[in-house]
Amino acid sequence: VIVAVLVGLLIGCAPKPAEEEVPIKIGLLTDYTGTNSTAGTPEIRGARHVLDDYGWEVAGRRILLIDEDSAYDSTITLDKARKLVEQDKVDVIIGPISTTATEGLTEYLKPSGIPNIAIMEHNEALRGRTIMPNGTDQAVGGIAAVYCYDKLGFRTATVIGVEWLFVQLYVEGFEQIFEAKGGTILQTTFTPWTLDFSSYLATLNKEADFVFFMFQPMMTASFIKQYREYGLTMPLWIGDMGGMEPLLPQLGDLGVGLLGQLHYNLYADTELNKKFVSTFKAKYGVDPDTFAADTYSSILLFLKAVEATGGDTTPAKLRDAFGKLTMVGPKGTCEMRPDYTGVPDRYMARVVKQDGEYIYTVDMMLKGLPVEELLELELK
Amino acid sequence: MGLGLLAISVLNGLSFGSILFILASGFTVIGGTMGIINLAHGAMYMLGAYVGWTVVTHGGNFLLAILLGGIAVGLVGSAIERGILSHMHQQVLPQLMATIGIVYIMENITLWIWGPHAKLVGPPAILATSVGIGDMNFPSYRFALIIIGILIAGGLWFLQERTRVGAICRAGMDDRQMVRALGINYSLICSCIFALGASMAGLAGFIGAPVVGAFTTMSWPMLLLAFVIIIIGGMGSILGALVGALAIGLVDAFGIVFFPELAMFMIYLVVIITLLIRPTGFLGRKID
Repeated sequence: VIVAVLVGLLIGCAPKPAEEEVPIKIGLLTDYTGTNSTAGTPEIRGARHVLDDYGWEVAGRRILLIDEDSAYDSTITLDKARKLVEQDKVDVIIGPISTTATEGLTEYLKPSGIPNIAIMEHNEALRGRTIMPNGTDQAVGGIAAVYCYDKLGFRTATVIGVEWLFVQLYVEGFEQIFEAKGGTILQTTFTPWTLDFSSYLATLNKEADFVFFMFQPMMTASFIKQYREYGLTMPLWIGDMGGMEPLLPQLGDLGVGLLGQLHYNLYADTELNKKFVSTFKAKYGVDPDTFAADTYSSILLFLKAVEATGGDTTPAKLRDAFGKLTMVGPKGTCEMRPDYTGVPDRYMARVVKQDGEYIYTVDMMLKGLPVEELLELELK
Repeated sequence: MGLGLLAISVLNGLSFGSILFILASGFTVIGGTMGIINLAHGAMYMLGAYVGWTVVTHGGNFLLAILLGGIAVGLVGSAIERGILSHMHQQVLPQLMATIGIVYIMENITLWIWGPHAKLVGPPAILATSVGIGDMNFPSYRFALIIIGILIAGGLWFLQERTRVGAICRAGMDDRQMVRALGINYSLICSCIFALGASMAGLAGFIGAPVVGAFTTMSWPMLLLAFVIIIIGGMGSILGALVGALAIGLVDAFGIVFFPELAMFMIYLVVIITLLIRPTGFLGRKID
């Protein structure tokens, strides 16, 4: 008995071995392949860039980044998410950009509470569940409606887009706000995934003040080209102009005058953005695009939340932090609301030809307010 | 429906149908002669578009781009046939799996070489105009597409119906063993046919590029359209491919005009009806 007591005392009093440091693990679901493969490389670069800025450490803890290709596919997204959660034990999942895939992912993550930070905007229905620093699809469509009605003076619209969930949500938000302001939607057409728009163009209502359109990025350039070739002249507003930059030189004069909005303004004259652009370009040899800047910002939001919790990555504590943060970064300011939905800066832009180059210029910056607040917004 | 919209719809259907015909002609020739369902045919279309785009952006003219696109894809097709498919004679499942794998390999190689962004191709300068029809313009290049489609259809029909090689192919579709028994090197004929079929996909890829562009995920949608055409027209028949392609082009064009909500299903409705009425396609041959 005495020996046992002594052994017990010795074990109890022995100094504990230094706790093994547990790194923070960030899972990134990106698209190296599939219909949005344009996003993959810039997204991983944006992710690494922000972690480089932080020295791959936050709140005294090392950071590990684990990236997976979700291929813009809901099933693959879930498979990869399972791997990230169950095998890699990540603390957060960033992405993917697919709204449809994110809806499934949100359901999967519900029991564990592991936060999912969106890179792009998603459905209103995910407010309070998914962390959406870019706001919602409906809000993106809605802010376009406010700008087109109040600032550009458009009163009638023809709407056309591919029959995909995120496009339908953009259109839903656009039409809701445009009509609430007194505008009229003359025609709404959803197309299947198509290569030839000629018949849709033939039946497009040509009486409208402008055309609001939204397609998957690879279809967008073909649509604009065919629209011009068929002699249609109504102004074109693209739901989201982000990622179009490499296509502008190919479109040439066909793209001039194209209107739309951006998440990220490459030319924004802020210190944070200038530093972001110069260091990114020095590292990768190209300008950052919207995918790079969006991924940078989504991970930045996570890092800010970890700082706020003092390094605690418990889901409940992180969520509490997400709902209170205001983040300033290369994209501008993003104020997070208690339902984890952000109010980011949005840039209303147009494509111009300047010194022989085809670029976009930003006409106005607006706050990406949620839909219910857009209903009250009037631009002077 | 005004006359302008009617005319535009017919022309839209015929011009897109021409691209589909050139694509499907290679698919049907390979399937009919060799009994191979080449699921990589759409990827070959994609490759032709990218090769042609590269030629044009490096200063080559449009015709050279079409030619090199066709030749390059023909060579790739030959390599695939000799290196892989010739070892899977009459093994349908391995052939299907192999060609599916080839699609992914070709898509990823294309992604590495040309990057993820879509490539746009303008028509040749002489065809970069348009003709006013009703309240719209119709691009001159689309008129050219209809003429190119007719010329290629005529050439392939002549090859299949009026030449010795064509006669061998037709005989091989009916009874391959008998052709071999006559001392004809049918394997060599098949290899040439595969290269020709692949070339047609490559040609279609660049000929169609001024309309649909080039991008890395176009393989499966193009293959699906080729399949639909072959189901309607029948495997192994050039005339069937022509009829199927024009039918799909026109049904799609008019379906969008009259039943826009059903546009996604119209061509598949035609497929279902065809399968119910004539499962081998309207002009198809029984394949050995």
